Amino acid sequence: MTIENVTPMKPVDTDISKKVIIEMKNLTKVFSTESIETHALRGVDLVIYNQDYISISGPSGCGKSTLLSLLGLLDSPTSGQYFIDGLDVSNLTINHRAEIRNSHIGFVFQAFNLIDELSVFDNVALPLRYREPAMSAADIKDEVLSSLEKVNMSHRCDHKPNQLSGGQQQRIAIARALVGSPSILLVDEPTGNLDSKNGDAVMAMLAKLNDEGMTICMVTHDLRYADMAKRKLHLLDGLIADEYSADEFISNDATAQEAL
Amino acid sequence: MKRFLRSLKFELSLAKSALLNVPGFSATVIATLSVTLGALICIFSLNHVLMVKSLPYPNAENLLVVQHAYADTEGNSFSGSQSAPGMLLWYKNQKIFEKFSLVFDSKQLVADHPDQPNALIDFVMPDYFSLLKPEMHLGRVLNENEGLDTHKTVVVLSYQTWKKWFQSDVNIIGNKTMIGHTSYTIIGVTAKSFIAPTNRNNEAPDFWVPWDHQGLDVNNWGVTTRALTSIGTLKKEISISEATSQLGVMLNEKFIASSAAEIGDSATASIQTLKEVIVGDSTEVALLLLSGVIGLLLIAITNVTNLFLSRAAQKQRTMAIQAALGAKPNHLFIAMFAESLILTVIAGVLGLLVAGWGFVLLGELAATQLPRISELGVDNATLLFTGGIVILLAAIFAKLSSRVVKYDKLQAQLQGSGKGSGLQVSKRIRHILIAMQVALATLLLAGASIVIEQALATILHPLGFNEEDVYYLRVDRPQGSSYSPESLVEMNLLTLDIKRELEKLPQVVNVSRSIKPVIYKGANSMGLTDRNDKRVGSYAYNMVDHDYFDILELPLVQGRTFIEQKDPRYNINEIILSESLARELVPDGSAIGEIFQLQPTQPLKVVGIVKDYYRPGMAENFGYHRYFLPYAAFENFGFDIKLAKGGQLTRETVLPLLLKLNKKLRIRTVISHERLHADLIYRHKLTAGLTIVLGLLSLLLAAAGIYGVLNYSTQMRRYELGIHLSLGAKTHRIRNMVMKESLFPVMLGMLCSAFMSVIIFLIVRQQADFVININIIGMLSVVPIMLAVAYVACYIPIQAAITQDPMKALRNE
Repeated sequence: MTIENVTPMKPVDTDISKKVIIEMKNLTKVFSTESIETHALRGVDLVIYNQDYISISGPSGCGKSTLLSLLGLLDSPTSGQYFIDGLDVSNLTINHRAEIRNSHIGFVFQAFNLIDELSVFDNVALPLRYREPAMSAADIKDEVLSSLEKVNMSHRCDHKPNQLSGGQQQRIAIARALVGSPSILLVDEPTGNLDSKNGDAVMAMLAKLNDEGMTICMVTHDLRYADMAKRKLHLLDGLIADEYSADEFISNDATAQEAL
Repeated sequence: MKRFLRSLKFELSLAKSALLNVPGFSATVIATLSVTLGALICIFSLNHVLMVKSLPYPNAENLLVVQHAYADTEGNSFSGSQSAPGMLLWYKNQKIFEKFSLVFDSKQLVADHPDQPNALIDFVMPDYFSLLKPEMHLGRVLNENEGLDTHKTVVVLSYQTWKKWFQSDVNIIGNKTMIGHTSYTIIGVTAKSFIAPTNRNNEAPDFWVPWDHQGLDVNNWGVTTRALTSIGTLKKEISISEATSQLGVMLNEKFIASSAAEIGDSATASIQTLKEVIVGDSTEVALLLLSGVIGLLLIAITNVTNLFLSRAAQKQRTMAIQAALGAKPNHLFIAMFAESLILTVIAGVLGLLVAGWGFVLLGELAATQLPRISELGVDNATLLFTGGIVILLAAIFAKLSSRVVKYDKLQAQLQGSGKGSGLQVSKRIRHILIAMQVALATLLLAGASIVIEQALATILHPLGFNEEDVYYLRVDRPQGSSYSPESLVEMNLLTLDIKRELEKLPQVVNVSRSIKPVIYKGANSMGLTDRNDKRVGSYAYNMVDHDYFDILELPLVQGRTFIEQKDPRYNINEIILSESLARELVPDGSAIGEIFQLQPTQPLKVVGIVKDYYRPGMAENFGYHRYFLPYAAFENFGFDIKLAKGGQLTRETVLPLLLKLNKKLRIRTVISHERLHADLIYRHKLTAGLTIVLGLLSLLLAAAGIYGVLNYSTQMRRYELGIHLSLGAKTHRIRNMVMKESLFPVMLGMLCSAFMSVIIFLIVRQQADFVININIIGMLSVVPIMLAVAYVACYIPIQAAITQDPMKALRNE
């Protein structure tokens, strides 16, 4: 694929009856210094439906992280529109964006990003502490334990992150992402810091969560894991270059084998 | 608020764990703040006690002191020194006070105590106790039957006296004790909690006895003393101005009719609250100390702010995680506030301990220099202040830290690809921090240099007489001795006998008689008139014999000293002037042979002029003006005793000699002139010492602060320095380059301090009653000190960064 033939693709294999969780329209992001402008995203159109499992891949510098930051409301777009559950979040205040992050979005990071000083329980409880109106301690406890049970880590409640293996830490990070019952999980290179065995386990867990109805959007370099998603976006130079559904990918693969 | 407290509770638990992981940071912040807060709390408490806190008596704000104020035709006026007839006039005739007591304090010996200690006696009336309402540990206070003209010989002891000199004897009530020459029956001991009003020397009384035993000349309007005062509460319908007016008229009428008043002299009443009288001008010292510790606090705040900024940079990742999970900016503020609050609270608690130690130190060092020191302590006001300052500091640190955190850039910390860059405190902020520290420290040091210089000027000022191996002995006149001419002859002879006995002691070289020590705290002055009865002024004086000037080695400028008096009769007809006084009285020629008078019928011929000598703490224009009269045993007996080199004189050595001559003689004091001198300069030494400590502390804090900021900025530049080194740059080139940049804010800070000094100087100069002698050279000496400290603080981190392998810097090891 060359740059010349890259054109924004319309989403494929969409089920219109599904509820739209996220919609991005012609979203751009430009990083400016005094002398240089870097166009990280150059007009991204993206729709994410309820129960989608999307992987975003592409070479270094293609804008994956920037897109994930915008999806997670960690950064503001330069232009374009962005809707979450129908709400235009393109130009919200810092506090409003924090509230939406807290209630609609769960994050899983490559480096786990657990707070070392907190116990597993408190790490998972952290998003609930910021919830408004405030939740009762009993409700927080119920939610946290339930979330930890989903990742089979409830027995590690009182441990500190540095007492756990990388795989266990990532499961805690997933539990933390799930605890607030978000609309979508944004997952950034979830296996980047894990060995293959733990990486496989984490990916199996994400697949299981998606099967149970969780919407997931994942950035990964690893094509093996990217293929596990139902929709695969390929990003190049700040644009979505290709999108395949899982069925289409399998079909393409079969066609290629036939050709051989 | 509920939400804030809920968030704070959680963040406090998080902060506790986080701070345990950074013990160096936590310990540095706590150490810096606890010492500074300790000093601040201590000095705050002092200011609070002196300026705000009520005296510990019921109805304290209404307790008033009425004193005399005199004025003459030349516009001279003075107040605070009272005559006994004037005070008694008020006591007997006033109808404006609801309760009123005269108070006279005097030092007397506890004669039946084995050590014959010198005690402070308050001669009071029953209303004194009705006004102050002391709780009693034992017995009772004076009652109405022990008032004026009852001559009851009863005494009330302070708790401390009872403990110190009476072995806490619980059966003491009804026992007798001999104070001076009078035997008193002990009727009560005040409670430990009772804090008695102190006198002008900040001394608390040891005993209270009925007024009748004060021994003042109740008919002589010409004798006034600051030891005589009063205390009372006005009737409800009487205002202070009415009372002042009524008492003034009453006093003036009798005063101008007395022999003490000259034509045109007048007397009025002056009413102040008891608190104002006790506190006096000590608030100036307290405010000076407060401004010093506030300067110190500002330096400490700058230091700790720098540490918190570095800490905020460290905490970026945690804050980014929190933000990603939905934490709003105010949550992050609360998180930082929680950390700073934990540290400031610990520092506050330690500061209270330091302050407690400071209270003890102040009690030891300054109890006689500053009033109400015994009331210093950790009370509600101190706790409230500490709590307030702790929360305020925590909020300041959290606010400043949160200002450098860019909430919307935090997401960069979470990127797994390593693109996130650590937050750096900007160069501008680093320069501001250094400049502030240098400016504040330089300003504080410049101020300290002025205070130290003024204190040293007093401490090191030559006295102008010999104090080495010279003692002063003061002996109480025998009980019952009168002031009649016959008695005076008898007393003169007795003093001569004492002198001869003292001269027989092997260590004694020479002895002279005088009525007061050459230097002492306070001043006694007496007016002089010229031969035409025209008043020429009131000056310090002494009555001395012919050996006095030899013993003190006070050089004679002109004329002669007194000739040995063979005739013991009272015969005062000569006067010796100090050089300054002679110059003032006779500006155009020699004063020798001139006549001056104490009273119209008592001409004094000037026979000699001696060199001036210095009385520490007294302004030179007044302190050098003094005159000497021939000795007469008017007051208690005093002896200046020259000893052989290294000789000692003790009470035990002298007492047998005195008792051999007269069984009623009592020793009041045996003290070396060096000790008298040391007592007078003690306050100045204390000021200099405290200021030096304060200056060193501020220098240390500033050095640590500059080092902290530059160490941080050098760390931030390690990568860049590594590139320079890897490209072959010599270390001295890099050092010079970085030092140049680092010393820029230092110079900026110095310029700021110079600017602030000028502003402060201009403001202070407008205060007419505030005189500062500024020595520019002394102030400028601060500059090289500050520069040297700043240079070292810059040099160390730079040297550490450039002397390691470049690869380590490039790998960020």
